[in-house]
Amino acid sequence: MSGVGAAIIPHQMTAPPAPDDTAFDRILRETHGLIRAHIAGMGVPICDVDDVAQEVYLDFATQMDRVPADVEVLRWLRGMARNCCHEYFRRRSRQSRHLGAIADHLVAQRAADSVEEEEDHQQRLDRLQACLERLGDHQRDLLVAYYRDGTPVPALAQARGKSVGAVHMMLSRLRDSLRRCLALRLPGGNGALS
Amino acid sequence: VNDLLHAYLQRRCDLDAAEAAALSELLARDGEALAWLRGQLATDELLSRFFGEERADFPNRVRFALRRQARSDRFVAQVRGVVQGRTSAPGGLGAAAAGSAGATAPRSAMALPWPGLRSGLGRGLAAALLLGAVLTAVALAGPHTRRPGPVDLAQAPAADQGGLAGTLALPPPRTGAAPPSVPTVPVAPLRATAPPDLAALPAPMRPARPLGGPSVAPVSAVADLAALAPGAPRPALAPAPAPGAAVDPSAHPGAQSRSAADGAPLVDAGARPAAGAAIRVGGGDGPRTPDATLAAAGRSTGSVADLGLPRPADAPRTASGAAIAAGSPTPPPPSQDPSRPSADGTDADLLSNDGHATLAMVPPLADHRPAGPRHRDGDSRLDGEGHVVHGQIRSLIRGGALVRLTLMHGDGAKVYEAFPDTVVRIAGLASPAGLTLLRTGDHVDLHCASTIPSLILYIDLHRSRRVLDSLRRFAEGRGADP
Repeated sequence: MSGVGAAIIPHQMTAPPAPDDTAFDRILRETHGLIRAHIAGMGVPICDVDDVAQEVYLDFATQMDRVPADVEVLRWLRGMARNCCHEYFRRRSRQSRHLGAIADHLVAQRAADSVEEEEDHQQRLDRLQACLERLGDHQRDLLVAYYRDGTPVPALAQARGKSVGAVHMMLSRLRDSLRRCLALRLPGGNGALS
Repeated sequence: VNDLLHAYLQRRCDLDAAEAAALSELLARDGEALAWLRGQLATDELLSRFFGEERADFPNRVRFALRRQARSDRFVAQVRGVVQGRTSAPGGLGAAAAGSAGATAPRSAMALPWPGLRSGLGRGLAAALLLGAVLTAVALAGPHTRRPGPVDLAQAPAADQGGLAGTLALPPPRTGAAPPSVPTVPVAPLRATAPPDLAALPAPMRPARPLGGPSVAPVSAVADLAALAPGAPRPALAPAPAPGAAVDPSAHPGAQSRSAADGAPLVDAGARPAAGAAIRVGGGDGPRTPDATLAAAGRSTGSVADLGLPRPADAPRTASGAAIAAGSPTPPPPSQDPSRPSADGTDADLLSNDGHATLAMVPPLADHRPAGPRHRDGDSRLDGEGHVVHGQIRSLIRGGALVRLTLMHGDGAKVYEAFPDTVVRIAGLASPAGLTLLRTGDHVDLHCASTIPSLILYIDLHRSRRVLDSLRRFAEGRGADP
């Protein structure tokens, strides 16, 4: 295993309770992982997911008293996240209507997989680490360079002597492989990943 | 089908109308494609969060943004109030703007909802208007906003002091075991801090003029809006003066004030510096290799680090050891002779060069980081220094930006006091102050076409890599991403 193996360390996903724990802090701690995943699942580019999520929570912080008593906070936050995503697309793309429709399709699909949706993210990260360890060095290097170091795809392509499209395809296939590995719920259960 | 899905994954917001419509229809009828795309997005997000350290402490980011929000609102309201009064006066901002090429947008543009500005030109126009208004307002708001010191902030309630007071959270170290808690660094409220002992500050942190010294004159022109349009040709610029030639500060909008304040006239930027120009900050200790990057930033207070860009070995250096960026077609004028310290003994000469960019990273005054391994890669080290950067654009000249970033860290509040000219916040890139609008793609583009005396940016280091990359690109003269 190359040196990058050491880089495969899961992050602490949820901050521990703060001394000045408030209702907002508690909600934030408990829901931010799901809300950020929800926003990413609507097609907001990863680099902007946290920005949109921040807008959600900033709005929520000023309107907490508007949450109906019979509505689950997470559901309310998802509704706010949906609105923020649509607003994001409207702001960022000329095709905002279509992107919004795509986001709604994705959200509908996501709702059907509620079990996975509610799964603890830390567990998923643990399993992801196990899956990543099954990858070859080159594949892992590619993921590290792209996701950790933020190396743009064109630079990755140049370094590897491949086309940009080929690198995108490699990343896509790696995500597929990891997705299958994660779905097995048994780390490494599918043997070596392709 | 595959092409559509992959196009979406690669280009997302940049799909054309036909692609977006086709994909929407496809997902409506093809559950398999929808499931595949959803899996891609979910895994993408999971991997990003797994590897992305800047995403690790989102709750702290939100709390921090919440603290800043109040002050941002107050600041913008204050600016708007000042601008409103000013524009109604003869010779006010409106008159100045009308005299500037293209700067004829109505004041009502200030109130435009940002989301409604879809085109890059619209964003640029709005940003230029807002930036010009902010700068003018601050210049006109009274001596308290121009005098070094936390007067403006001190007038605000403690709760309004936003991120400057309160707690800066550091990200957890990237070690195998997660820390028991997210370490925090207390930051003193600005109004509670005493004026800095300038002699004790490293040179890059000293104010460009003595405390209580001459104030900055109002900005005489707002942005050259034409230059803000994406893809617009660069405006014709005055040629750089010949070596030894006297520079007429009045020839450049806004330069006069700087000239009076610093004793060193500014020179129009001329063309942007060539790509690959060194971005180098003052206080160096001899040539460094690009690989040194930010390694020095954490070592010695007052030293300044390269940001990883190549720098020719023979680049002229200032008395403080800073290199003038490469690519200069013309040696700096005498007033900006890099071998000569500036009038007030600071490195102001570095920051008023002839169109080259200087991106400075000043190490924190004290190392408050928790014990433990540091980040492995250079840029991410910045995250370990604190979550807020004071970035100061000492001079924005057409075609060039001089950017200075000072880490806000612990005693770093003093650094702010040294440079209080203008404050524009980037609160998680969602600030109403407007610089968000300069953002294109994944990056922040500081396309400012006017000369302004000073600008302090509050940049959330959660996004440090992209922000700094963007600043670096801009400083290199490459501007926005293709």
